[in-house]
Amino acid sequence: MNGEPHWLSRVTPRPDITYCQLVDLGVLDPYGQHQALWKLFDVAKEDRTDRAEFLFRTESKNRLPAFYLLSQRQPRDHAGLWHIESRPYRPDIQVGDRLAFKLRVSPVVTRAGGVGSHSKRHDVVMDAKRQMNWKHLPEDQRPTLAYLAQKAGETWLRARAERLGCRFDDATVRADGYRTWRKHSAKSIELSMLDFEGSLTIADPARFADALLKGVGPAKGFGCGLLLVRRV
Amino acid sequence: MTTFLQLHLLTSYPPACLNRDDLNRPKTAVMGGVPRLRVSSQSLKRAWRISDTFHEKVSDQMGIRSKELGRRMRDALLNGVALADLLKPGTLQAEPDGKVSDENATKWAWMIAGEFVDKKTKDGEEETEGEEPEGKSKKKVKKPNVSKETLKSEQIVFYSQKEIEVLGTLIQSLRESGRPPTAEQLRVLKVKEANGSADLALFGRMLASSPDFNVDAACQVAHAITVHRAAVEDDFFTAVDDLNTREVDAGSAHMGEQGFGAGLFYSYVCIDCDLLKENLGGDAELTGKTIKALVEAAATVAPTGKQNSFANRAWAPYVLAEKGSRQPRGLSLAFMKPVNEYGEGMIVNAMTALDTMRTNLDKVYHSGQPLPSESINALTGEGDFQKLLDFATGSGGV
Repeated sequence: MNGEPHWLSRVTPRPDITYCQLVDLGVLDPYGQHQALWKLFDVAKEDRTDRAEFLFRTESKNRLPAFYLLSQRQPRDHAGLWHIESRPYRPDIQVGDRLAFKLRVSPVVTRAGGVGSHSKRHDVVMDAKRQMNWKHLPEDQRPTLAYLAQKAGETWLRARAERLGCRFDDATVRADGYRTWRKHSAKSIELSMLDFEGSLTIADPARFADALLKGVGPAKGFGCGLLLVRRV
Repeated sequence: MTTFLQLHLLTSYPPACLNRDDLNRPKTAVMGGVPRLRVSSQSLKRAWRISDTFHEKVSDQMGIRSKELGRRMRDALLNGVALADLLKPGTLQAEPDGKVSDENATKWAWMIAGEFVDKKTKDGEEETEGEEPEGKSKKKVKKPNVSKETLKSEQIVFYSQKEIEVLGTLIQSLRESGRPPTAEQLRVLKVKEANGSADLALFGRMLASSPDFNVDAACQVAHAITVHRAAVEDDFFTAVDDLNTREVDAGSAHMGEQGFGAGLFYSYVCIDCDLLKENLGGDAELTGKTIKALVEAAATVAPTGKQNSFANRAWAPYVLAEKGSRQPRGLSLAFMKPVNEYGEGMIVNAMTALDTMRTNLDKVYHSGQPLPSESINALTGEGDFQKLLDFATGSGGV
């Protein structure tokens, strides 16, 4: 992998934070999480670019958020809120390496819109529902949402294997935790997420490294796209 | 009426990786809609069976569970050392004495080992094999599922003490006569009862090729699960060091840091005392000894996974033994709702939940009449494990 090391950090609330701070953390939505993490990087607002400064993934520990954070700069906390552990991140990956992975993504497909309208992004689960005309199926013939999420999600992921430089091992890929999130504001945000877990084998190390550092799929600002891996 | 001995144990294991899946993570299960850690019953049984505790009690009455007995038999044929001695730990090496040729030894051992495993059905071609022991008249020849080169069987076979003896005798006689085993000699190899093999009598065996010689397990073991919620956190953070390097041991090094897998486990064991005694040829004394060995192992032996990194040895702070002829029932029901750590703490809460469930089951099913039981509680210092053992083994367990 290229010379410039990244940092993988684990960010957890400090045990000695105040009750008010605790409450604030407890109600963070994906947007708020992203903002909170921004504060760990000393980047002046005007220097911010479109390119994601960092990738992150939120976990929940004792109902408080805990983050995995991958960034080029090492994160620092000035507010006394976070306990940050960081490790240099330069994965040594070769063809044939077998890795367990975890990935939260916003899996979307782009479909052409009607006449005169723009093409639109649909999340794959909704899309699958639409394709099978789910709403009009008799209730006992409707597949469960979990089943749809697994099927549509897995198809989506496997279709990306080549681009990501890996092969997903047979029968190991699990897709669950399908959920949608909406934020109503001037620029309203609509987002759906899916969690993948499984194991993979490296086919193209350069491409895979790229996916590790740059992330997978859209919505990176909302905690999607960070591909976490470990050797098995 | 059948007498069942039921054991309920609560054991707390510190951070450990007792029992791993193919991705090197602790095994899990979902119960009551909540993720738990799990230790499979195979893992538990194996840990108990190979433990010192078990060996001390019934070492003379242990069977052998192996894929490699064929190789040992060849060695015995070659060098004349008694088979039983070859199977002891710290195998002694003896030179072949030339009494039986290498070729014959391999062939004979293969024939014998084949008696204990499934037979693959193969189409005609191999029919010409002259040494087909039973000269079947069927069109398809059944071939033993044992590799001719390595003499390893595909399944693990459980050999009883008695069978080892018979095999030893056969091997000696083959050495004397210099002739291959006859069909009759092969036929009488398998012994129907688990006579003299405590572990075989407890855990049973299945020989798909000759169901007559199956031994029904007298002991059922539930998968141990945590009484509380325990999600397996894949620790991708500590795994980074492994990812950055390519060490030989990659993939396991970071495990030492992974503080996962701690939990309070409920395990349940049910022994059919009558079947056990029957499996042991009616030997009441050995039945008692076997039960004692099992109870002691279940209470004090931890699965061996990652033992060196975690030293996850633990004694059960709570053991409840019940005996009676009622239909047995596990009490995992008590933990459908995960136990929390509030109030008196996790262990006490778990004990209370278990006790309440048991009392209430007895109340609704048996007008509040409990089964005769004995228990120990190491938190309060109540009970006496020796007494519990005596209770469990009383009159040969029956």
